[in-house]
Amino acid sequence: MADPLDALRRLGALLAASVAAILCLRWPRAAWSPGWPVPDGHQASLTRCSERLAEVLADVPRDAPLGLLTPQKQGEPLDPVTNEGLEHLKATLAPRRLVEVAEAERVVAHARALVQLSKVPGFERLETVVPLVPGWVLVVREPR
Amino acid sequence: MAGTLAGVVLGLALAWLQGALLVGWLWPGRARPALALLALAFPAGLALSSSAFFLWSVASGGRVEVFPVLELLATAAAAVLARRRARRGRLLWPRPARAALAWGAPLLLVSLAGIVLALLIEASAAQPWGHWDAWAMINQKARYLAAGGDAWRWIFAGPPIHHRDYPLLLSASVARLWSWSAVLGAPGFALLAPQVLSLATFLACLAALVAPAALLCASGLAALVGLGFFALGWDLEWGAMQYADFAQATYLAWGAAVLALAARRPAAAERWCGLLGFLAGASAWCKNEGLAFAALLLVATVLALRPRGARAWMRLAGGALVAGLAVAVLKLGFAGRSRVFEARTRSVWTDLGDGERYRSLVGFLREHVGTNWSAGALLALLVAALLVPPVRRARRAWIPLGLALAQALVFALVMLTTREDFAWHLVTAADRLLLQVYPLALLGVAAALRPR
Repeated sequence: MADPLDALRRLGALLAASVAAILCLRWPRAAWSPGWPVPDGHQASLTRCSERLAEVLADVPRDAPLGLLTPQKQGEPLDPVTNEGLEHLKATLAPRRLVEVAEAERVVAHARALVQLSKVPGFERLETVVPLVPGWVLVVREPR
Repeated sequence: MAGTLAGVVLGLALAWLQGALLVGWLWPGRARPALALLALAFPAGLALSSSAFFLWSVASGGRVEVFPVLELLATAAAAVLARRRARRGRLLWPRPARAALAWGAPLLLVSLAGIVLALLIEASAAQPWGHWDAWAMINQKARYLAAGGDAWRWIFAGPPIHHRDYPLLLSASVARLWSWSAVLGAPGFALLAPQVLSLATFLACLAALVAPAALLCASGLAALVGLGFFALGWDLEWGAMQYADFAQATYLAWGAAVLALAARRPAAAERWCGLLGFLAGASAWCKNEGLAFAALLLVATVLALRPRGARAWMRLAGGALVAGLAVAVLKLGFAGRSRVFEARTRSVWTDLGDGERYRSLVGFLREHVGTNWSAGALLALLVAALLVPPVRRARRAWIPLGLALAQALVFALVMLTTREDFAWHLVTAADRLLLQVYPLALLGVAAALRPR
């Protein structure tokens, strides 16, 4: 027959552990960064951008030549926000092989680089522009 | 969705089985601690299956669509072989404890792990792409690896991907899970695979602390060591970021723990050499920091065990080759020159003599630990372990502590001599130093306080 004192001890330990577990439920919430696990606006915007791009490119064959154009000047790093956007787009575009803008049928471009893009043959008029998220657009080459 | 989920579950289960077969083969002795073997089998299987996936891509020219079938056949053959050649041995399962404290601590650990896991799942849902390293490197490379054909080579020759020379344990693991989902009728790059893998490596890291601690020190302390892991506070958020740092910490902890176990009986030490070599190779296949740890572990193995005879060295080299071959193929065949060795604007000696860099590093770590970690008492434990005169049996505790110290030193040297912007590198890398070295140090502390 089980020792009633032993059973009581087990029950006490179970209660103590339950209280500790409830305290622990509050602890991580309080200990971790106030905004976590909900991402900040920038992170959410990047996710939306990737979702939108995937949606836009869903019907485009995977081997269609794609270009990517940033407002980066030679030798100068991009500002962190634009750079994060660029990397997120690259992640969404993978495993598509990116080519030079001059050889591309479609170009994912930053709004600040559109003037530069308009100098490339086939992209002069910039009429076929699909907005992705603020700052980034998809430009389709006009028929030759 | 069902095909994706089935692919992820089956892929992970198969990796676990492969790891169990490998660890069952390499673990010496007849008495086998069941929980420790189960805990080690998962990271071992990840290293094995991901390196096999990468090597198959290289050898077959990217015919990844047939990999799952080949993997299944190879695993089944290995399982049959292992069953035939099974040594007489017995699995040791932990006995249920009678003392309230002895089973209260594990209960608390499981409760806390469940709560943290729930928060991490919430975080994964809120940031499905993970963080920078995940989308810009690990999972981006995984997409090319999973695409098959020539696409996987574009990691090195296509659009600029950061850190082309980086080991591919996680990238190849994600790609492998996608190839399993594709075979089961769900092609594509579902984010579920890297999300689940991220959480799994987080749990593997926790298990890499608790399971060896139960072997190295008093069993009641093992659960407390696990609770100590949660002192990382909101650094635990990294468990949902789809990064490789918890995976790396897992191999570091297992490497040090297995060496400490082997050092108990130096006469039979050579029998551990195969497993130690494998863990060194797995660590090198996970991250570049792991390459440094692999070298440290091999040196520590030679110093602590003094392997004699060709057989011991063959075991060490053979074990290292199992997971390390992929590293060699990647580094020598594809990765090109690492950025670490590119031309510098300042000499290494100028950087090492820059007192401001040391002050910044110490200041950052002090501030980070002070503000982010919720249990400074555990650091006090570390100090206590260093101050308490080590008893004779606790000598092996210095193996995890020594390796933690050496790895931290390598990490610090890389940060101090970085050719990138120092402030940026500090913010990027200092967290990783703590994440990777802290579990190792915790293991050493536990073994020093109450050695078994």
